[in-house]
Amino acid sequence: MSVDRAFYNAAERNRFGLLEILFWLCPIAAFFLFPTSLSFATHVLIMALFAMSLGLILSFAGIVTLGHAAFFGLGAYVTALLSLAGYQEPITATFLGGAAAAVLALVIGPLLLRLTGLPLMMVTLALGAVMFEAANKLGWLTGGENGLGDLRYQPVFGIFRWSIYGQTAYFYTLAWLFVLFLLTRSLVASPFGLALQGIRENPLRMNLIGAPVTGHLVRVYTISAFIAGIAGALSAQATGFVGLDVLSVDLSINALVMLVLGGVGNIYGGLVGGALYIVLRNLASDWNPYHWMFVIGAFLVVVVLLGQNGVIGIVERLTSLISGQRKETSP
Amino acid sequence: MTEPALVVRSLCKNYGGFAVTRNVDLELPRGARHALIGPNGAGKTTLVGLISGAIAANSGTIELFGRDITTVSAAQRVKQGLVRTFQVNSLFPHLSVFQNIFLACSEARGTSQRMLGRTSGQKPIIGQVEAILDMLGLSADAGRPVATIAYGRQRLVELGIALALEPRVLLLDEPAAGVPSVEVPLLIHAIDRLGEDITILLIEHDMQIVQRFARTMTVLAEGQVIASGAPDVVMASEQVRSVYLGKSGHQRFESGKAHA
Amino acid sequence: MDYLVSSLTFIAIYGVSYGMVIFLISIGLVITMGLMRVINLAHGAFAAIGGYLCTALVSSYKLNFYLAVVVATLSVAVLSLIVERGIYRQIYRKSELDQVLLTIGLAFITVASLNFLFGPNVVPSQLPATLSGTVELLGRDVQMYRLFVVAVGLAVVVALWAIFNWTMFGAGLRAAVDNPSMAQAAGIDVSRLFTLAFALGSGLAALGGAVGYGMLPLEPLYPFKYLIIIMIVVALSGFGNMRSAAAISIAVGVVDTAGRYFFPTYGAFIIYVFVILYLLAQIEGSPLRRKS
Repeated sequence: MSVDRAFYNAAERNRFGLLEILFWLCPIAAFFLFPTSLSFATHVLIMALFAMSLGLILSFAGIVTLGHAAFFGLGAYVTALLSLAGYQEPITATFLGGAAAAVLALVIGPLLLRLTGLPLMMVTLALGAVMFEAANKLGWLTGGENGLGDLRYQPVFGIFRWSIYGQTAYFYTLAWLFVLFLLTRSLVASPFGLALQGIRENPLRMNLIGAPVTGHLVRVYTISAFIAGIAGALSAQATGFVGLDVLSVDLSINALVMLVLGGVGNIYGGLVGGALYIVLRNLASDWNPYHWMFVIGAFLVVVVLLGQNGVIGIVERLTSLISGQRKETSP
Repeated sequence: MTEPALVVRSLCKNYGGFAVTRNVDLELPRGARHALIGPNGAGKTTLVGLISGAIAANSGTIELFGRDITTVSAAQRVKQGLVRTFQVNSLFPHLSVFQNIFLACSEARGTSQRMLGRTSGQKPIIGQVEAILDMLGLSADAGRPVATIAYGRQRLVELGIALALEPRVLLLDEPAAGVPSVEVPLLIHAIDRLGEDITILLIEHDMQIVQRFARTMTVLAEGQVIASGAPDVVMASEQVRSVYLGKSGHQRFESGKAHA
Repeated sequence: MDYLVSSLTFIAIYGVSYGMVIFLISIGLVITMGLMRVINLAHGAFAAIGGYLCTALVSSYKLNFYLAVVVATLSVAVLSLIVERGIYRQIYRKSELDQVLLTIGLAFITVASLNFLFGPNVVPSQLPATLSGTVELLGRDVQMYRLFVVAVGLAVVVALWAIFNWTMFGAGLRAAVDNPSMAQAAGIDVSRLFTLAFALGSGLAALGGAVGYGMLPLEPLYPFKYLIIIMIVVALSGFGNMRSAAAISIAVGVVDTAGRYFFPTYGAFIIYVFVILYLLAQIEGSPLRRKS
């Protein structure tokens, strides 16, 4: 008889059970099922990673930001510029992209994270807009609207070449995704993760039990920015191109939509939502983009009005329904 | 080594031109069981706010075990062992009773910085949380979100959080407020069982609780201390009777319960 | 010297008229946020709908422009009554995140619908020919249109001032912004008051959308394109403070215009930097905070 670990920290309810193993078999299966769509599949993984990074701060620390693309974009540009400057070792280049984003978060976090609610959204939105405009104006550095193309990287471990079929990019991205997922998963299950949930619930009281509230928030914000920066770096490496869209406000808002689609409050929310959003968007790629916008808008309204919690919420309800029935039938 | 646990000297607080705390002096020796009473609007909760650091004083000093903490932040005072409870619950509503107490334990011992290792693996802290839950009779509710348990039991969680912070001086701001009378004995029992190493300042309306608890007491009226000392001496004071209890209160006092 | 005077005239007229439009489309949100603390990222949608409606009335029904402005303003006010009762009412007690998501959703729906009805491009201007004339002011040719916008803005400021100071509605609103629960206890129907304030604010946004065409051209993405500027005014004004909303709007209009005039390349940044610094300066314990 094992004690339910969720008793200690709700974020510990994810154990490598059947459902979780099945989930991680999906990207492996996708490799064999869609060998010709690997670059698209890589994009799916990258967006899942980005949405997960937003989920870390939003679901667990209650930080609502409208400017998370700033970190994604910074990671992408740094990794791209490294390549153009001749630094093409892929793993450290990815890492440096994430590190640059983390440094930015570490610098702006201590001021930013004293804000909450509308002022916080406002400042993050404005910072995102400033980053976008800056990249647009600094054409000599960023290529402006033309972006930076023809980025090259050395083979991973000196063995796996970046082929046009994208096998290397796919597995390279998947490896980063899985490692960062494990990091996030253990982070939210730790005492630190529980302290973040305390801040989400009642920041004033956390302060009065002596918790360094801003310090805790800056720490998780920096980690989240690091992950977002890695996602951006991977997108630069996988496509060999970086354009202004990596910094756009649209990307920040889309990440929020992905998270809601997957479900808020669980690390899988971002992963499921990010992947699902990109796949659905692709299925509807023949559509007028405005029609897609209508569907997303209606989805958001319905989700909020019905109080649903994305795909994860539905899955949880189904599994509790099934296990509930099982309990009833067992003697 | 024998300096008092808490010393308040000439503490003043004005809002605009209105003085809510006037030249308050208070001294709590170590292990004190001191009650603070006074009619509504006497400035009791303001005084707790000033001592705990939630409100900044206009003048006067506060010393904790001989150290001047007048300008120290509320969070830092907690770290130095000065802990308060709140008259109105301020908890983490969606987290469980266990997790509410755990957060406080974890913060007091610096474990909250730990990013590696599961919450369920923190054996020493879990042991402490369980001891507190057991002492307060909350074990049965440990897994339930705080928002779903009865208000009286939430008050116990409030007390539990304070105890988890390893207080040396504990300010209890009307711990029994809103607690159904059947659950009051549990609360009193819990307070009774607190060790002598904890110095306690209790603010309470219920004279039964005060009489049972207090070894010394202070009466506050209109922001001023009007009497201080042993309960029977203080209660016998004419000034206390006239200012605090008034005419109608006199009878209630005689019957053992004061209206505040 | 002449250059300086004419530059300053330009900045004053263009900045103030721009500020007036910003004021019109933001003031409703300043009031409703003050009342209900609800985060409404769809406020700009009402301005867009007002503008589109006005344009359509002129182009398709050959209505007089000024009449069309009035009809559009009133129609949007009525529409917003329905939206408030039907949808917004559900989210006042929900979390910040839910408010953000629902109102972004509404803005998305508006954008998609405007595109469906009017196409993806900027719709042609329907401002009357009389407004495109110019008058000379301090050595500078100034569009009549700019002066018209300033006049409309001033008229609205005066009207709002009168409503707030002289009517029961205004008195109730001031009380409710100060302390909603106290106002409720004093017998003011805060919920009805809010519906009316919401309609008033949305109507003014529609007015801003209609007369602001010359500065903020109408296109489907309008609700997002000008979201940041609206939010800037709200965030800087403090909740429910009308007087500072007017001052901030004008300041934002002038600073933005001056920035773009003197530094064409990087002028667009100035307003963002200004806002970020201002907001950060409000934070307790911030090194940017003034000693008080």
